[in-house]
Amino acid sequence: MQIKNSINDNLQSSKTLRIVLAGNPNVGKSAVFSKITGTYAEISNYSGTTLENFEVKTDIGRFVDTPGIFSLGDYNEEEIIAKQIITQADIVINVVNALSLDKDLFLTQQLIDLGLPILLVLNQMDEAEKREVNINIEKLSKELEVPVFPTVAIKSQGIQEVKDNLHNARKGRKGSYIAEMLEGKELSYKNLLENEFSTENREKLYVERRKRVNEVTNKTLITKEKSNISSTVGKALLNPVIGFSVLGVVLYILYQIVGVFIAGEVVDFLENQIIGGKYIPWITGVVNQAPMPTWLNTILVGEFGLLTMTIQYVFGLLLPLIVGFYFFMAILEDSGYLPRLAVLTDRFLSKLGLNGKAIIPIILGFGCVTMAVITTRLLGSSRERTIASTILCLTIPCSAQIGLILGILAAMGSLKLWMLYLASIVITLIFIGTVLNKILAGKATPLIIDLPPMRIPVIKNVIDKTLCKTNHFLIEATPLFFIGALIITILELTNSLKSIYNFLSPLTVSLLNLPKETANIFIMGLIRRDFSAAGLSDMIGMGGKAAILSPEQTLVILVVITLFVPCIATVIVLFKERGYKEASLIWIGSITIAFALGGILATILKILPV
Amino acid sequence: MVALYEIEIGQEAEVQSFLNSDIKCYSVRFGIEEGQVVKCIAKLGAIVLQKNNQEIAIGKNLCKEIYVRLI
Ligand SMILES: Nc1nc2c(ncn2[C@@H]2O[C@H](COP(=O)(O)OP(=O)(O)OP(=O)(O)O)[C@@H](O)[C@H]2O)c(=O)[nH]1
Ligand SMILES: [Mg+2]
Repeated sequence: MQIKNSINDNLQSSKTLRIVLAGNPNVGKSAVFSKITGTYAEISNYSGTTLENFEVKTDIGRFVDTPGIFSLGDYNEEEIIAKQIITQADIVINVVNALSLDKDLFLTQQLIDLGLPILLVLNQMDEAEKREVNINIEKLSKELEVPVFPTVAIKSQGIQEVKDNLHNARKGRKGSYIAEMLEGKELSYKNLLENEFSTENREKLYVERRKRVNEVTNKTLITKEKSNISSTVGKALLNPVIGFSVLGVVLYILYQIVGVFIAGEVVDFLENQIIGGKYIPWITGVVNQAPMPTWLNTILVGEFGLLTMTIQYVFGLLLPLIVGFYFFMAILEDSGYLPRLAVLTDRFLSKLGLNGKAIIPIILGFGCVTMAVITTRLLGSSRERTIASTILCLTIPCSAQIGLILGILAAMGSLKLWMLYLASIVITLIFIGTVLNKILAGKATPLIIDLPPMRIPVIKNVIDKTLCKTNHFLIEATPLFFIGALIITILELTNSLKSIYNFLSPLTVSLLNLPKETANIFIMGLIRRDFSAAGLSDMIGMGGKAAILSPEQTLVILVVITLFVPCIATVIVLFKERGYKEASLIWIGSITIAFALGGILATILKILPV
Repeated sequence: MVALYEIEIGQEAEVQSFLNSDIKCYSVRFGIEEGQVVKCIAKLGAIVLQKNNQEIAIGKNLCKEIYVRLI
């Protein structure tokens, strides 16, 4: 066969093959990709985990993982991104889920119609077996005229066969409707591809293609609805009472693990006993003995020292929180609960101009707002992305910050403070969503998602993901912490810090009713959100120093630093994703809203103390 | 013929038509096409349909633009 030869030629010559993984969302493309190439790729049990093409070079060729799509169209950004690379592929590894063969084969047939050399990977065979879904693989391969390989990607089953058979990729059997459409019209495939998306042809093509796919599945698939524990749990979670109770329990567990255990005990041990009690006296001693000018000494081991405070914040305080939080999130992401939460929250979110899918970036925002702003790509329209990005930047605190907020609230032990904090944030969220929904033209795009089976998380995946994200945090955030600490020390050494305190005192003292020094927290917050929470934890006496803030003042600061500017990394991503105009508006808007709301809250608390 | 939104939990329906071509193309990709029988397993604003071993959630607004015959 011709393509076989050309692929073989390529394999022998030095020209690198481009091998692209393509398929519907959440079928296991990234899992297959990562097993074939041996590189880490993010894997979670919801649609839209991969949002960018990710390329890795191996000795076989260049492998590209792509975002999940239902068709090679231009319905959303993922399709546009994936289309670019899929149409350039030498070989397409089309991953389908054995549980949803009839849905997934639509894209397969489209790839075949376009004349791309294909290898079909029938993944999640373990799930199919459990649910007694029987697929006649030989027949499927005969019908489509492409090789088919069953796999269980998470257990590496069948992966070697796929690797060994790359050169057997085939252009499959095109639907008969293609010949009809091409006849007499002198259309090339390229034209056809373009024609696919012109509206007059599309409906006919899609309907015919669907007919063809149904024909294939009818011949090859024997299935009956069979319920097992996973599907029973999945259905139960769609009951509003059960679904929201579970959400409550999940949040409570999060509070106990991250807020009480990690922010309380683990941090106390690490920050106060190890770092505060042993490391800091030791390093201060060492530095003090070395001959150096006083300013350098202050930079290294002073109040905001690079070797003292910065190390203490990053490793004693933020790192344990980050690890705990990401671990918890990874379990949640792997379970299949998030898409169900999207269904539960669809009604509420539609009032804010979003659809249920938006809950996914919002929940991920609790991990890292920066990543979540990128994840808003899985939403259907630019309007929804604007609303979701604003909500993320304004109201969603991110992992370490949340951990500290939970810890601070737990340390103060007042349920009332808790409620007031939550109420302030939720009211802001509803307010800003409703306003944006009113003033932005357009409406929410409809929700249509498939719900994956509920699963027990794969421990290895959970650990890998936690480590990868923690590593990312350390690499990205640590330099910023050092720069932040350096800036503050320099301000202090040049006596500018006092002027800034005074300059900001109309805001801090008059408006928010706080001590002047709290200006520090806001300066730190400009650099990293969690940095400001770390500074705050000192001021309420968590780091072993004397508390200088009352509960009311703490609450005001907590609300302000939650709403206050997104961190530098988020702002950079925001500018890239949403353009400078919108990004600056969100940035300035969040500062204004933060202080305005803080002012209102401070006034209320002055009249009605907790 | 009624909107899919009229379906109740446990009920089955056969898809009859779509509001427009765009919505039709959109749904056909998921395997929701004319003649397809689906079963409602949850209704909370959005409707969750079961088809073979797949569960598909469809938002309220879209449900009003897909027409079905209740069985
Ligand atoms: N039981 C089982 N689960 C699998 C298998 N392959 C992948 N998974 C799980 O399926 C889910 C989706 O896997 P991903 O690799 O993230 O899927 P994807 O196709 O890359 O998804 P998107 O990037 O969102 O389009 C994860 O929870 C995996 O752990 C398999 O063979 N068996
Ligand atoms: Mg992926």
